[in-house]
Amino acid sequence: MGFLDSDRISDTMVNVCLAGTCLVFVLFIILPIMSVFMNLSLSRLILELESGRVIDALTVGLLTSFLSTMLALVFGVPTAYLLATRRFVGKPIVETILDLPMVLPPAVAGMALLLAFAPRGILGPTLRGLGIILPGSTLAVVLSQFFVASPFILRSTKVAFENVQKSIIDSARILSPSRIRIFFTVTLALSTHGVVSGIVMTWARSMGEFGATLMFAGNLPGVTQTMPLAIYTLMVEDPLASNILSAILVVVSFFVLALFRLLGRKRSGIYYD
Amino acid sequence: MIRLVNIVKSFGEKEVLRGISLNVERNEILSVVGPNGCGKTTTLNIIAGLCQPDEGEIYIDDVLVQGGKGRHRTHVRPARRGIGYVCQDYALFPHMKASENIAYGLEANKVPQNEVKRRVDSLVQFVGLREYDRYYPDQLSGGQKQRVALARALATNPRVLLLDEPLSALDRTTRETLRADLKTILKTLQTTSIYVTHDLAEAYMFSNRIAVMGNGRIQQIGRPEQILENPNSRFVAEFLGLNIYSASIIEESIGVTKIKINGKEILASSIGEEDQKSVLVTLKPEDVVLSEPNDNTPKWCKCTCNRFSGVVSEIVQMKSTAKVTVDIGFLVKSELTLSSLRDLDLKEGKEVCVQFKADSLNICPNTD
Repeated sequence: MGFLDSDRISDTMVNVCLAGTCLVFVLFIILPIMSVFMNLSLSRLILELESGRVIDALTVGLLTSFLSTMLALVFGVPTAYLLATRRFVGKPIVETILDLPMVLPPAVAGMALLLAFAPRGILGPTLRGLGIILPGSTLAVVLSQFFVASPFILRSTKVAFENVQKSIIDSARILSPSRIRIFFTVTLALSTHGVVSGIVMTWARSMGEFGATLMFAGNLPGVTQTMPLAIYTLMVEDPLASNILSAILVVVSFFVLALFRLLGRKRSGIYYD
Repeated sequence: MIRLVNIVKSFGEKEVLRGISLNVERNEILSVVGPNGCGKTTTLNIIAGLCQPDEGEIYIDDVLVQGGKGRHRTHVRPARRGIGYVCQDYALFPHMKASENIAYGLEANKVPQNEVKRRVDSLVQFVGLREYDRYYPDQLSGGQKQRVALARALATNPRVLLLDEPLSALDRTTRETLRADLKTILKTLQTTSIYVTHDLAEAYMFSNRIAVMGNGRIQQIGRPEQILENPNSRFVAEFLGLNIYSASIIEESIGVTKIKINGKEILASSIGEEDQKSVLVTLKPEDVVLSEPNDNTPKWCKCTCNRFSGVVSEIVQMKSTAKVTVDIGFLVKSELTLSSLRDLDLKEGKEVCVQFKADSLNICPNTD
């Protein structure tokens, strides 16, 4: 047997190993997702949608995750720009603090939010003075999601800003006296991919947020009960409703993810992917 | 027009510029040459305002654009200095079409739309990119990108044009075409320009004056022929690729000076005001003539000609010329055409006759 044959065999073996690993991986993900759709019937789906529990959870979930993602965008993009372009004392500390929620267990995040913003928390009296009681409110859901999911947008946007070539920014600085203009027409325009994927990840994380929301905002149907909370609550008393909710969440997640991927590719992918 | 006064700049521990002072006249094209890492690009970035010096002042049209210290520091924004900048890697905006790239500076400076369109159209034509204005940078070749970059820099009618090795990233054929075009463009525009390059040929082609930079300083500045004929230091002579020798003066008489290099007596033309015993002597390789070893007819008048026999120690062939190093007690580099090389049938180790005129030798003070 010549070395040509042995080379070919070893190449084939590598390919088989890679394909096998990938197949097991895909099966492991797809099997549970498929099973979510196994017991469903259209009549039951319509019945559940009419009952309002599903609609309520879906509305709260979509509304809060939209608001928390917007909030993360408003705070995340300028902060990412600051961290990507400026040097200042204590920058590593700031970066660590802002990344912390990503690794913090959600239950701890919920506890921490309670200790800070609940009526008996550090800022509780001040907030009560202003007539704001957070726990049990939809705003608390938004804040929990923002707390847990914001690092995603921050990270991905920061990396995108850092990757814009300095010489391109320099060219813009020579041509445009306005820094704001440079930011929007060059820096941000060249970072769309990073910003869009940041939005997707933040939104997905917000949509699925469970622990922090449960602890800080509570589980009130129509007010603070998001999809994951409803799925958990209904699992015992009405497993099929829980199943339907899961299926809806899978479908919604899938379409939003697909939409954002498409958008991201159209905006920026062509030129530097 | 542009005046730099004692510019100093360090990056961390590394001192990049150690006191650069420079004047560029109106409509002048000044080339800045020097080896890599000598601070050429940093100087350009400081003039552009992209980076701030630690010390020193910059005036453009007698207006202070950079200078002062602490709270009295002046730093005029790059876009308010009236400059155009073309850099080595083009730095085009990848998400904008060629025409949008060119229009960027005009739009940023609130030029009315119809004026922007008119100006972009005429520039696209001027740099020869008529069919390509709707292309994105990644659809253009290197040469086309460089033309877009040039048009973009010229769009705002800059008072000063800064060019940082604009041709160095191109292949040779494109570089030669673009070099000729660029020369025409610069001549037509008559914009005050600073042209940074490490290619001496480019510097000689474009500029009214050349500044040789090294070790964070300007080593010599002057007209191209002045620098080539009278390099003022070992650094400049080495950068120009000349023969350089430390020599001592033995005897000075009217018109002729006798000097000694490595124990060999050599005739040089009178050095006039120099009053030193130890000097630096430079000799252009193209002034050194090689001939057959038993060639008894001197090339020039015997009294002002140096004639030695030596052994060829190295031959380096280039595109149209060859550099031959001959050992005549010290090493002499000679540059000759490939046909002369063939005619003389030179080989390493072969004996050869070396001649150079007394007035080909340039003597400058020894600063070593």
